[in-house]
Order: sequence, then C-alpha cells, then structure tokens
Amino acid sequence: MNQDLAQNMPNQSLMMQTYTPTFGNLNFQIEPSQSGEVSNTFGTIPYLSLESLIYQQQMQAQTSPTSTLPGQNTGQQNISGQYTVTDSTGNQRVLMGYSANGF
Amino acid sequence: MAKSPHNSEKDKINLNSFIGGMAVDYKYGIANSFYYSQGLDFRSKPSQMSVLPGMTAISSTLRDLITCMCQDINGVRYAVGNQGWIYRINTSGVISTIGKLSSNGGTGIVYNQQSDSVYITSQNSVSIYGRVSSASPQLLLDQFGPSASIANTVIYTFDNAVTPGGYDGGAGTVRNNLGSVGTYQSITPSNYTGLVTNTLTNTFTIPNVISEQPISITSFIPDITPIYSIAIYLTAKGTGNLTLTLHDALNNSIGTVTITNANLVIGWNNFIFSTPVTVTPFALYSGTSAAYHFHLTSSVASDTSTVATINAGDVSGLNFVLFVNRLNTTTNGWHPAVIFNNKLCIGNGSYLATYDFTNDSSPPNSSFIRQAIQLEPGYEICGLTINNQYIVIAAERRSKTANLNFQDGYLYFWDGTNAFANFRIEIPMGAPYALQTLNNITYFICAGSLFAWGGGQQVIKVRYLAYQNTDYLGVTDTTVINPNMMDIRYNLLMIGYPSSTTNVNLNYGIYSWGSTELTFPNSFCYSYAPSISNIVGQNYSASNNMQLGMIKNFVDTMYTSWQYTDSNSVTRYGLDILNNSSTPASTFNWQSLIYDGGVRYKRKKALRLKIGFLALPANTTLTVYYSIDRGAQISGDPISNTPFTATVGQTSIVVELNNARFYELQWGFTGTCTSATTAPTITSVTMEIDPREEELAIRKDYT
Repeated sequence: MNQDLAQNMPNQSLMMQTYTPTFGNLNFQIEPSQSGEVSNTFGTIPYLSLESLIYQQQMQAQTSPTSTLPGQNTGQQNISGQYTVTDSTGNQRVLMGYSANGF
Repeated sequence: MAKSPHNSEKDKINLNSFIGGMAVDYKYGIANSFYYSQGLDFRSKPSQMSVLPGMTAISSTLRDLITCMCQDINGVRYAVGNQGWIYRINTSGVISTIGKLSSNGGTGIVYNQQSDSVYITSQNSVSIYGRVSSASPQLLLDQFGPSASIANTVIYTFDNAVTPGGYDGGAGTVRNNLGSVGTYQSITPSNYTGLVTNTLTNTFTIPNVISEQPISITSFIPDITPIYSIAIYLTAKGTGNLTLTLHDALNNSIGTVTITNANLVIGWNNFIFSTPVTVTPFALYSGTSAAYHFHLTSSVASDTSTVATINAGDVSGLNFVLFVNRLNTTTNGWHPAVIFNNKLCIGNGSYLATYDFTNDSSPPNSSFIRQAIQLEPGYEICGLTINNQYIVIAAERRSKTANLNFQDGYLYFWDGTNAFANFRIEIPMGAPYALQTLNNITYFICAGSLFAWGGGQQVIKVRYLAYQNTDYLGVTDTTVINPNMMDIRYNLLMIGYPSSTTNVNLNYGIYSWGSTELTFPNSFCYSYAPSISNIVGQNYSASNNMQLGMIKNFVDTMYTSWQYTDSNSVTRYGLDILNNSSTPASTFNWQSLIYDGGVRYKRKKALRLKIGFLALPANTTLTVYYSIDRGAQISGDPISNTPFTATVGQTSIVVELNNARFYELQWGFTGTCTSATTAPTITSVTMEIDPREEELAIRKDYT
C-alpha cells in the first residue's frame, strides 16, 4: 500500500454484515494492530452501516404489515358489517353478515 | 503501514479524504475520520472540505423563544414561541407578530391546506389562524377550548335499583338535554346557557356544611379530563356565597370554587377551577363509593339558595354541566402536533388527542377526541413523527424538580384506528427527545446520544452527540431537547442540540448526520453554529442562559431560534436563517485525531505540517496549529510568534516544527470568513514525522 494513501482505505463493507444484536460487532478491532511498530496512520475501526443493521433487525421485526392478517387467530373477533370471500373470478363464495343470502 | 526498524524514511500521515466525519474517540474512528469539525462540508466532495454557509439573525427582537414553525400554500411561514407569541414570516422574509395565545405555546403548529388554516396548540386549548389565503385571516384564540362532557355517566343519574353498586348504563334519569344538543356541536362555556335547558321542577336547598349522604352529593363518572369547570342551575338566590367542592372517591378535596353572592344569577352559574383538575376517566362508581362527586355549600346558615334537581331535596339529580379542557396541563409544557391519517394528532399529556377537521367552528367531542389512546399515567408526550403506517409517539416523565428528574420514557406506535397503541418500546435510558423520521428510520435524542429505530426489536444507539454525563461537574444534568429540534436538509439529518441545559460542556449548535452517496459512510459533525455564538459563545453559562428553541428547514432555507441573556441581564430572543444568500460561516475549524503511531510509549518526532487548499479566497483566513502531548494549541512560531496563517491567494501552508518530539500529536486549523463570497476549500492535510525507529527502549516519559 502506498503509505501516502494509507488513510484512504475503502470502507470495509463486509464488516457491516457481522453485527448481531446478541453478539455485537464480531469484527470490531482497531487497525493497525498494536504491534509495537510505528504506524503512519490513525487507528481505524470498521465502519458499521446503520442501514444494514436495521435490515438485519427487520428480519426479526415484531410487527407485521397491518394489511396482512396472519393465518391463525385466536380469541373473539367482532365485525361490524359484512364479511365476504370472493374467488379469483370475483364471484362471491362466502357472505357473513346481515344480507339476503348471508348467514 | 508499519515500518521496520531499519527503515529511517520519514513517514507522512496523509489525509486527502475526510469522509469518515467526527469520531467519538480521540485516537481512532472509521477510516478517514477526524476528531472535530465545525462549519465544514466534507460530504459533498469527500476529498475536500469546504466551508459551509453560516447562520445569520433575521431578527434579534422577538418576544419569546420560537419552538415550532410551519408554512402555508403561499409560502408564508408561521411560528409560535414558548410564551405564546405567534409570528408570521411573509414571502419577503419579514417577521411580524400576529398575536399571543392565552397561555404558553405548546410546541405544536400545523397547517391544513384543505381548511387553509393554521392550528396552534397552547397549554389547554387549540387556536386557529385562518383562512390564511384570505385578505383578513382571523386569529381564533382557544377555538378548541373547554367543552361539555356528554357521556351518559355524567348526564344521567345513577340508579342503584337497576344496577346495584355500579353505573346503570343510562337507565337512570337524564338531568338535561346535553345528550342531544351536544352530539353534533361543542357545548362550551360561551354557548351552553342558550343550549342546555332546565326542565326540572324540583329543587335542593344548598346547605352550610358538607355532608356525604347520598342525597347531598352529586356523583358522576368523568369520561374525559381535565375538568375546567362545573356549571349548576340555580333556581333561587339567597344571601350567601356558594362554594363548589370537588371530591374524589375517598372524599379528598381536589378542587374548590366560590362564586360570591353578587355574582350569582338565577339560572346557570359556572364554577371555574383556578387550575384544571386532573381526574381518572371512567373511575368506577360503586355502591360503597361515590366516585367523583361534588358538594354545594353556602357561606351562610339556612340560606335560601336552591338548585334544580330531579327529585326534591336530593342533589344527586342536579342539573349540571361538566366542562373539560381539550388539552391537559402538562409538566413539560408541550403539546406537539402532526397530521396523520387525515387527522390532527396532538400530544395531550399521557393521551393522544385527534381532531378530524370536520368542524372548525364547533367540533363535538366525537370530532375532537381528547383521548384517542392512553399512555401510561405520568408519561407525557414529548414528540411525534410518522413511520410507515404508524404515528410514533415519544413519551417522557418530567419531574417538577428539574434537578431530580426521572430517567425513562417510551416510544408508542399507533396505527390511528386501534383502541390503544399497537406496540411500544421502553426507553429506560432517558427521555426520547426530538423525534424525526428520515428514510423511514425514526431518530431521537436520548441522554446525549442519537438513537434510531427502523422496524426491529431494539432501538439502535447511533453515536454520542455529546458527553452529557456530568461526572465531576458538580451539576445535575437537566438537559432538555425540544420536540422540533431535528429536521432534514439536503437529505441529511439536522440535529439541533441541546435546547436547554446547565451542563457547561455541551456545545450548542446544529449537528448533522448522514451521507450523500450510497457507498459513503454515514458521518457526523458540527455543521452550523447559531449566530449568537459570536456573542455568548457556544456553551451554556449561568449568566448567558443560552437556549435553542427549534430548527426548521424548507428546501434551501433553514431557521434556528435562540435566546440568551445579555450583559444587562435582559433576555434576548431571535431567529437565525440559513439560505442560498448566506455567506460562508464566520468561523470554521477542524481537528485531527490524536496520532501516536500505535506506540504511545515511545517518542516520535514531528517535522512538517502541510495544509493544502484551493487559492484562499479574499476576506478569509486560515491558521494552522498543532498540539504536542495534549498541550496547548501552537498556532505560531514559538520564537518569532509569527502566526501559521495563510494569506489570500495561497494554495498551501507548511509549518516547520522545531525538534518537536512527541508521544501524542494532534493538528488542525481554524479559519474565519468576513463578508467573504467564496468558501475556502481544504484539499489535504499532511503531517511528516520521523518515527525514530532506532529508539526502541521503553522509558519513563520525558517531561
């Protein structure tokens, strides 16, 4: 490495992927190592992208989009109005609620 | 790159990229980081640093500290101060005063383009200014002030025969017509006498002393809080003054009001509490507990004053109206506001209030809902923002004793329809201040650090803004960040910090966080100093009482409000602006990390420091300095005292260091711009050192 360019190290992007909420930043280290030789750089630590960390978090997000109902529900559900199910052609297959053909 | 001992070539610590921004540590950070910068743009072109524009005051004679701002469709901007003054900034940038709220400002101001009106929160109410595009907009103070509860638990008597020991679901007898007249309009202290009727023909004679007998009390279950007043219908006026005493279920007095005899009238009399009375909504009535109830007493014995009741001699059926403020009194004094799901959402203490904009003239309680959702008791909303399908609600606990504060808060997430918050995240580190969402990541400031939430289980601590820690300072950390202290400017997060503090180590200003390109790292720095830093510096002192109120950015124009106390002990309020006419910041500076070569134990030798820049523009200065072993900054020749200052037109400056042995070395530069039109641009910073590889032994430090 050209010593004059020593500070221009690219971001160590692979380091971004090594953080877990449980174990923290697995690759945290200070470069250069403290070997006893005189370095001509400042000490550096790997960059950790906030966005990549949030991407990891979203894999285990506690919330689901409100437009999507999970497949299993327990408890009582109160519906005001009608509950209809239509097939892919648009024909009504199930109707629950107050209606001439409902039940 | 490490050097082998036999290599005596001189090393250069060369910086020609500054993309890493400010590091937290003195010695290490991400690649191309540095310790400090002020007023420098290293993101637009990370291979250089150019001086950012500076903030200048457009007014130094405001009447209070602006805490919130919005803009209408015409480009006119509106702001409200902490003491309630309302300001208008016209399209030419001229500030005028519109009026003053009836109480302190609540940090909430929102413009609704459909109604073409501005909605302003104060301590217990909401005022409206509009229509702003008309020739003569009206300032309607306290337009959403107190209104009557029309809950069945208030307007019906309790009938124990129907539901012994509890509320009977409205099976009792109705006191008046509130339920019908209040359904589609506000029943307010101003209009109720003409709307709420009395058809009761029986009476109750007001006694001289309080009795807790069921026929001597008027019980109710409040559905909303806080109570502003209670109006009663007087059928005969005697000679005494009348006092209304409000009790809780344990007969504790929680409010009293007296109306003198001269001010009593036959008909409606409104007993207004001096301060709103906070009650617990839906506190249950039981057979052995009267829940909330009130008494009427006269100052004279055997008074002939009577009130209208359903049954003779039984005041439980009194004809009364319960007036409740639209907003709760809060300890933090804040009622931030945003529009979410087409509704005006207002922080209402430990509730979130919503208003659907359907009736600015007289919204019924179903339109202005004081308590759309409830938070934990004692937690007060201190910020609102929107993230995805949720409104994010920050809540804090604020002590009335500033130096004995709590240390916790919550983030609540609500979809706008659920009966309660969808989920929440506890923030035990401190109050989550200054909520702001950027790129669907919600940021907040907590205990001196920037935090982020992007959809996961945890909030993420991004980094320190400042060491808010007061160890060894001998003062309590009372730092507060107002709700509107973060905004976005050119895709970067602007962070005004702090708002108020007694920590003399905190550096007032506008910091920034973010990156300008996908592959660039997010970085942090101190970007803009308020204009008053030229007067009182950048740090709080007991004499300057420096504060920042809010920041607000509109494309290329950013505002910052401030206050300070001048040498004559007069508090000054003003507003700074930063726009496309701003000149380079009056001062700028940069400081490297501390260099020790990874070998603090041995001495090295500094030889030369070179700063490269584009031809130094007119009316600017740039002075270089270095510091050995954390000593004083040396910015001039130690012998000749000639400053290490570049002159206009130069493209570099080189400092020769004379026998500069060091264990730790730091360097940097400061600069000024005085009416400059071109910003100085720094392109490289290089320090040449002799590693003194031949000196290997570990020795005690030379001093």
